[in-house]
This record gives sequence, structure tokens and C-alpha cells, in this order.
Amino acid sequence: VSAIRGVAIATEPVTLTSVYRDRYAPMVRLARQIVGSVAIAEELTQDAFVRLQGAWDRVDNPAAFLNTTLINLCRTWMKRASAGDRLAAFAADSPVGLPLELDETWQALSRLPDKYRIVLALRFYADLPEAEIATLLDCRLGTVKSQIHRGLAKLKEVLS
Amino acid sequence: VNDADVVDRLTRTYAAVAAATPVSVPDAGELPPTTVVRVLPTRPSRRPLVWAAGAMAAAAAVLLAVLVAVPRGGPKADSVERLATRMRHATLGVVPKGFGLTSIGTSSDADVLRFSDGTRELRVVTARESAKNIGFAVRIGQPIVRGHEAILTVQTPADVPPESVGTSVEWIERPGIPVRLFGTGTWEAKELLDIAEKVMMVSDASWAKLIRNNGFAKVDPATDDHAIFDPTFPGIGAEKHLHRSLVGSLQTGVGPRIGCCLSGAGAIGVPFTNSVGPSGEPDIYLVWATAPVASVRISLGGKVLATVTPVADPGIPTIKVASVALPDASRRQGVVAEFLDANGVVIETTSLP
Repeated sequence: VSAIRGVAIATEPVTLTSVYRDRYAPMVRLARQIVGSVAIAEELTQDAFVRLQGAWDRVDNPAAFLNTTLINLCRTWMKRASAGDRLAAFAADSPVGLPLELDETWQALSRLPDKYRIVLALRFYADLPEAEIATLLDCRLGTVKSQIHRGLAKLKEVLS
Repeated sequence: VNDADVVDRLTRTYAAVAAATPVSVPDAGELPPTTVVRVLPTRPSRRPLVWAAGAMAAAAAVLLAVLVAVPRGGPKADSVERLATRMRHATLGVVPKGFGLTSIGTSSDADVLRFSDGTRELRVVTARESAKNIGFAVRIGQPIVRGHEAILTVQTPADVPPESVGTSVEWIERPGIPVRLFGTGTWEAKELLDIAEKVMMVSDASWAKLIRNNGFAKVDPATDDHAIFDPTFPGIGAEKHLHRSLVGSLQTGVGPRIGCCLSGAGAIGVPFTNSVGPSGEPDIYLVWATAPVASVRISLGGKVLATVTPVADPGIPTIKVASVALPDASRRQGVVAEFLDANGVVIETTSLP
């Protein structure tokens, strides 16, 4: 989780390669929590690096740029994909060997509205503070708080 | 389920899912500067495939270019689709003027055709989707080839002579079927792109026939050897070296034989093999160089069948060949070939599968 928030390289000069090496795996995992499928998460992550590569000269904080870009790409993908495709992404790539309770939670997450799934992943997987999520999503702090609250309520409703 | 339970289950689920998400990160920094790396999805996908390619323009400047190739094409009838899925080997419909086929091969990683006009080389590679290659190349364009977005790159590592500079165009012919044209020497992008348009996809059967008709062997995927077969045997010096055997016979009805192929010191580490000749020719082929060989001892079940001294192949004078007929086709399994130096010391041993 710290790698999701952390800076790519502390002691060496930050290069695109070093950022790629450090951030690729955590970003794929974060994207998977949102879109469900590893394959799609990998595609979106690599797409984020495409954007980073193009903007490298004007990006001060590659880690933040990647986070924002990845979340935007996830949102775009979910917007373009049909509801069926979105569910299929979860169903086809369901993690193997999860305990029943966690598997139920994963399935419940797949049925949450996208906006709730995003904020929940950022808050409880990436461990980002609400204020940072608001910056990342370019929305107000109150919106983030209410979405987290409603997302948890929805999840609780499904699980109950 | 109360609020605390939900948060607890959620965080545990995220942790478990993250742990169940294996991600392979290509470490481009540790790769040799001229290696080509592509990262492909590990499973078939109808989604646009994303390729990552490293870029190294100079020793100190490592760039990573991550490029996207999107398969295109409208909906097709089922029958056409089924037919298309069998066409999974790339060949050239029209061979460029002045070029001739120098080798053809198949491995678990790729199908490879190599053409040469004597000064330049052109490779047509159909990679397996699961193949992982990573490369340092500078993207110079993103053209459309055969209706697909393609990546045009040039390899420009430092201190490489012009004849070794590689120009490459690659695209995803269909999901799971990446195709790459790689030219070494001086290539204009347009020239390579024109050839790319002439790529023809063929079926498994046609590919196997192509291999048979061109007299080259097929690689046993279990050996995991890269299968670029080269009948021209470049770089052969005066000193003869042994190439250990690749297995696999494409021929039927031919008496089993063992062939030994020796090449010069210059070919050390370069995997190549002799060709499958007409009926009666050897059906075991030889791979990488180890040491000079004086003789080859063939045995079965501990009994020596023959000891042969390699002789020059009249077809390829720089290669020395030895072959020996085995007594019984059904007993070829377990036949052992031992390669001995001038002092009679066994350098290398190999056996028929």
C-alpha cells in the first residue's frame, strides 16, 4: 500500500523506467480493485504509462500523475463498458481461493455503482486520506465523504 | 453486519485480492541494450492489447515507451471467424525482390521466417501471446498496417554498426497473434511497411508444409531452444565444433539415423541445425557448440552401435556430418550419441527421446 502512495525512487534520479519498475505492480493491483479484471487493469496501467511518457517533461510528481491518470482511465473504461461487460470483468477474473466471506464481499463490490467502488478502493485499499481522494478525483471533500458513507451503506445492504 | 464489520471485511478482501493478483514487472534496466521486450497479456483478450517497449537511445538515457496497438475490424460471420482463428502463422505473400528464404523455424515462443538479400536481413515473426520479450527501441511512428495500429521502432543502441541497426514494425494481427517484421541493415520505413502489407496469414497445416518443403526441422518445444534455423551457417571458422542435438523428425517411413553437425568456433552459442534432407538423411539435428569433436559414438542400451568420424558435407563444405543408420525404428528411443575429443574423452552426450 505504501508503494501506491510513495515516491518512486528516493535516492536515485527518477526516470520513467524507475517509476515503471516501482509503480507498475501496485497500480495494476489498485486498478484491479476497481475494474475487477487483471487483464484490463494491466491495460489501463500501461495506458497510464503511455500518458506519463508523453507528459514526462512537464510532470513534477509522476506518482500523483499516474494515480490521477489511472483513476480517470478506470472511470472512462467503466463509462464505456456496458453493465454486462463490467460485471463480466469481475466474474471472469474472480480471484481463486478466497475464503467464502471475502468472496462474497468481492462479489458485492462488483455490484456497487462505479463511483462508490472507486472511492472505497482509494480509501480502504490505497489508504489515501479523504482530502487526497478529493484532489485526485477533482471533487469536494464533502462529496468524497458522502460517497464513502453511501458506498459502505450499499455494501452493508448487499452483504446483509 | 455492522459498519465496523463492513470495513473490516472490505480491507481484508482488498488485501486478499491484491495478494491474488500476480503482476510481472519487466525489469528493463537489467536487460541488454539490444534485447527487444514486449509485454503481452497472459490470456486471450478481445480488449485492445497494450504493449510495452523499452527505449534506449544511449547508455545513459533509458526511456520507456509504452505503446498501444488496437486490433480492428468489423464483425465477421462465424465461419469466417473460425477460419481466421486457424490462420495464425505469418508469412510473406510476396517475397521482396532479391530476397531469398534463409531459414524457418517454430518454437514455443514464436514462428520465424528469415529472408536475406546478402546484405540485409528481414525476419517475419509470429509471437505466441504468452511470449515475453522486452526491448529497447525508439518508437519512430505508429502507422496503420493491414488495418491495425502498428508500432514502428528503430533500435539505436550506442556503438552499433549500421548493418546491425534494426528497424521493426509490429502489430496485433488478431488478439493473441502479434506479428513483427524486423529488418536489419538500412531499411526505409516505407519499404518495411509495404512489405508488412504483404504479410499473409496461413494455417497450422500450411505452416508445417512450409517447413517441410523448405527442408528445415521443427523444434521440440520441450527443449525451449530458440528456433532460428540457418542453413547458411554464418561465421564458421576453421575449428570444428559440435552442436548438440535438437530432436524431432518431420519425416515418416525413413530409417532412423543420427546425424552430427559440426561447425566452426565462430558459431559458438548460435543455435542452428542442419536441414532435413531427402529420404534417408539424418533425423536428429544439432544445436550449440561446445568443443572440437573428433568422433561420435552411437550406442543403445550400453552397446556401441558405431563410432563415426565426421566428414565434410559435400553440400556445405564448412560443415562436417556423420550419420549412422540405427537397427530398428521401434528402438530408437534411448539411442545415445557421445561426442568425443581427439583424446577419446566424451565432451557431450545426447540421446533420442
